Amino acid sequence: MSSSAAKQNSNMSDNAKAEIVAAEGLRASHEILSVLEKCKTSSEEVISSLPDMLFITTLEGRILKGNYAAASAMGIDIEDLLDRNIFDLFKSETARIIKQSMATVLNKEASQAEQLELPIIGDDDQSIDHLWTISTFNQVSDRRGPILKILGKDISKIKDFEKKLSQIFSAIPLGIFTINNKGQIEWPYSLYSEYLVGQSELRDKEVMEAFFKPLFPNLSSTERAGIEQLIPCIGSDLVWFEMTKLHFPKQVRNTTKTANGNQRELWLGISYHPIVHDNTVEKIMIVLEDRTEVVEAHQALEIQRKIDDNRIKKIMEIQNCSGALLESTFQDFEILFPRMMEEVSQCDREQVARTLHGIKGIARTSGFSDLEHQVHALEDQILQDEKFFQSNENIDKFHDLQNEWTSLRSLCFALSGKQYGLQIERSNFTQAIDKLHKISEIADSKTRPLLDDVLACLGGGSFIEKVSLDVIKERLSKQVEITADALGKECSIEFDIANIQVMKSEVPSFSEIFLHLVNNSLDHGLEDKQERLNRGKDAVGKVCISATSKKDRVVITVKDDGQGIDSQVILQKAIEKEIITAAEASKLHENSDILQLMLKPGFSTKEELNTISGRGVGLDSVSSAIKALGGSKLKIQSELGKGTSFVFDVPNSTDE
Amino acid sequence: MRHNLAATDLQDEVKEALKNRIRNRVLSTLSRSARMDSLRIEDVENPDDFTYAYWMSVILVSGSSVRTNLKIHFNSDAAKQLVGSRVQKKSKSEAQRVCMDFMREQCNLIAGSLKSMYLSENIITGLSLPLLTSGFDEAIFSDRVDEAKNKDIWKIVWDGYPTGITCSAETQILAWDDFKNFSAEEEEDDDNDSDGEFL
Repeated sequence: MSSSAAKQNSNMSDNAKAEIVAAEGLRASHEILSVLEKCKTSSEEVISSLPDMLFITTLEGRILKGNYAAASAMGIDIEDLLDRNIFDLFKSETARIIKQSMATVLNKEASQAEQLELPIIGDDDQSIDHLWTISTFNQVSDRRGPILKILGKDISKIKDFEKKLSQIFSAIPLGIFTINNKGQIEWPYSLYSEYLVGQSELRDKEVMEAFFKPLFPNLSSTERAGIEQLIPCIGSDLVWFEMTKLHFPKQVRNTTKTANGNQRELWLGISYHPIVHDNTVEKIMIVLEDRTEVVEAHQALEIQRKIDDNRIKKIMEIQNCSGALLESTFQDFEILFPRMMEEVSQCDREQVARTLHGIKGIARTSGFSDLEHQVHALEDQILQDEKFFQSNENIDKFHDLQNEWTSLRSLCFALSGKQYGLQIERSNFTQAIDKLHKISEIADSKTRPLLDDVLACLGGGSFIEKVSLDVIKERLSKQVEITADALGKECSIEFDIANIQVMKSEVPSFSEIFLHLVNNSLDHGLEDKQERLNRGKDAVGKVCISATSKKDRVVITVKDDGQGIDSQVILQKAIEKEIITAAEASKLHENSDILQLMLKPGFSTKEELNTISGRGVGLDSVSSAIKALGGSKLKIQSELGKGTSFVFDVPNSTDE
Repeated sequence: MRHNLAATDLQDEVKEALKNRIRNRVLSTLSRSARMDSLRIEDVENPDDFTYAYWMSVILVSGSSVRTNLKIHFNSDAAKQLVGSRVQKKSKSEAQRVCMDFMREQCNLIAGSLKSMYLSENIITGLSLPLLTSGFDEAIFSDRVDEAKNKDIWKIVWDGYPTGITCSAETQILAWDDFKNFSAEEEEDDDNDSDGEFL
């Protein structure tokens, strides 16, 4: 081998060695490269198959990298994504917003992202809501400008759900919202909340400022202190919340302004519901309920109840007042009230006070307590205030007073069936009510309410309700038992009135009539036990009340089997009490005529009055009550030693 | 003549020669494998840009004197055209796999050709494994300018497909002495017989 050949061989050997060394150096990293390639492929697959859109773009929106979701949103193949512009996804106005956000994120820390909700243009130009998260992308250098990482999440389903939830919320007539630990109202909330709170755009507003503090004037001090603890409760344990909740307001009056500037008052029911995690209150859900109608109905009911109570009180006062007293009271008031108003118009303090004093005295005598107190208060004010008549408010008080009297008069009219001054016969009034009732039954839907109103005005329609006269049995039986005991007599009472109907409103009048007559029989008619036995009668006296229907009248008889009435004694008493003169008495020959003297006011045969009878108003008031019922004159028939009958008839109300 | 040149001029001349020879090696290798005559080299409009294609195959040719990092950036459509009728009867996924294997193998063949080129200049190099990756990572890594590296980007286009593929070669000469005699002209492509029949 020549030296040159040897040298060449040597060079080749060196080259081969160098090549082997180089190849081995590379081969050593082959395995690592192979693994890295697989890792890279896996990573790319993960990124590509992300359900959310991923873009890596320049500030100008040029796409450098993207995944399948991104390509799908742009309607292109993933391999064609490079160099496209992300702004093509958006309408021009929304593209401007995302450009601004991309610029904004550059001024933030690398780890800080910008988030915003913007729709993209989907198939058929439909907008699809997306949540975009924009952040800067870490790169070796930014020689070619900054690169941004943009994630787009399809939130259209969430938005749809939110929309449906909002629609449901809107349909619910409740204010429902949650409060976070900053005391702010969170979105979503039911849109009705805005109406109830009286403010729009409640999102992120502080609940204390927006809702509770304006309510403070309407809250009690306990409720104010309680609601101040509402926000501190968030973050506390559940037991603390439940304890604190006891002092939160449950029902408040909220006065707000409507869109057109009018004031609106709502009554709100408020309930508080903790949203708890690990026994810690994280948020509080508040539910508002419009209770305006309920509260107003309740208030109206209360007012009506007071009116009814007042009305009942007045009715009782009227019923406690005798017919004669009522008559004279109203006669006096008919004079005094117009006089008072005349004096008021002349601002004559002294005269008005005097007239008021007169009214007060009459009201006191009649037992009209409200009227009496009202007059008394007014009287005091007039006497204390020299300038009393300079105030219109004070003048109104006289109208109130007059109204009080008018109300009493109306009630009297309703109770007695006649209005003082009009002199409507009770029977005519009853018939008129009955006819109105019949018209109401056949009236159409438009007319019926009007007729009902008329009936209500004439006494609430209670006149037309009929009941069996039987309803008085129990009370009368009890009364007979008590009275007989008090008088040391024995008496039974029998009734034959079951088939007779009367107007319900007439029952008190019938009760009064029967009570008087039965008391009269017990006190004056029936003998005591021994005397009865001596006379060959049953030891137990008997009173019988019967009623017989005769066409349009009902004949009522109250009969006892007592000692009867001595007409000559009656005649003598009438002369003694100056009810009749001796001359007049001489003209009375018929027994029945003499007995009619018992119906004169002030007549009584008893020397001493007792609680049962003897004030001289007994048969007189019975006669008046019968007349008020539209009845005929009370007839008295009596036979000495055998008993007495009181007979009268009234209009027949019994249904055929 | 070259001995009289200043060192900087020499380096520029070598860089230019190296660039041309690498481009030609890539073109010839791909033309042979794809059996297409219309493949031609085209300069890219903006060589400083950084987005090329969705797929990338990459290989490193490295030795003590030189290190060349070669990348081919392509889309599936381009690969399919280069593979030609060899994937006609294959399913879509199978065709995709064949195309990707083809492009990875082209990288390997080109690297072999470059190794042969260096060896003809008595420069010993070795080859890495050819890698194929999807996604585009140039945005992350390649925007820093390294004066020590000679970077060349060009396109290979063909009739009916003006988009073509993009190739990039980043060469770092570690021993300039070994390139004193580096020729601008190819003496002979000794890999002529290789047509990339990897299928």
